Amino acid sequence: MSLAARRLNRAIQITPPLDRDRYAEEWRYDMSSAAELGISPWDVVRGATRVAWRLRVRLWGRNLAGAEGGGRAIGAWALVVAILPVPLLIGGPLLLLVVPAAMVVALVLAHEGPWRVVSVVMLGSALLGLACMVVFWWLWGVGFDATDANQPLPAVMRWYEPSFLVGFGAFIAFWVAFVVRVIQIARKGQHLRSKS
Amino acid sequence: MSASLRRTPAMVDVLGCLLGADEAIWGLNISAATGRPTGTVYPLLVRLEQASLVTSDWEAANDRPGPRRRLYALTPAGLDWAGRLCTPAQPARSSRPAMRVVVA
Repeated sequence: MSLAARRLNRAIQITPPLDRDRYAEEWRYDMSSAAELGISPWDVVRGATRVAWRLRVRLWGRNLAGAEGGGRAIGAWALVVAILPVPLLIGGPLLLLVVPAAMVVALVLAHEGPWRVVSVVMLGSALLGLACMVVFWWLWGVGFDATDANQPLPAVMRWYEPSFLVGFGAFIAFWVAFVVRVIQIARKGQHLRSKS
Repeated sequence: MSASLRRTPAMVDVLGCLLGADEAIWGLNISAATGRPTGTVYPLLVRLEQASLVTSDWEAANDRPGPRRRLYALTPAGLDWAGRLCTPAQPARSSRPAMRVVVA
């Protein structure tokens, strides 16, 4: 088996099980016939890999959003909850990246369907929350350094508490909006299932 | 499920290829005809199919053993939409029209 064929098999394994048979047959035919059209088999592998990841990510999102049913949603969220403590155990810079990473993942998952007010609230509160987090982190260092040097706190420290409060509020707004969005998507999924 | 379908050069090429075909067309043939890599064409076909603008089916008769060829064609809704999207004369404000299609 050629290297390209092995890579194609890998793409097929990435493809969600329900879509796998269909795309596997299609891509295998395309690979076997690509030369007839002057197309490199590697081009077929690249296209297949992109589609496989697209389908896989979409399935993850639909599972978490409840669009594939309650059981799958519970399982997906149980997995997320199980993974969450890992960065806490590892600590260090990874811990700092957990919050923005979680927000980015939530934004990707919530990008299901047209943009609505909730989506805008999510994006806006994410940007505000992350900006406040950066400011708060910076001011914490400034205050720490001033205290360490027995210096009076600089005037900029008056933003310390507001940055925390606004940031905290933005995070709450973000996750509330996310839950609302998930419910919207789940309801839409139920509606579509009942129609089909 | 939803898909955000914008008028991109690749999208116009793929739709133009589908519009110009008399019958269902092989996915890889679209890639060859448009000169676009499959990394662009395959995901576009997936999105168009998810939006019910394109339908696909296995080749009916295939004298060679092994896997079959997948053929793509525009649905009636896709035909209408593609015709409008590929029309060259676009109003000035909609030179880059975006279309959101929400489908099952």
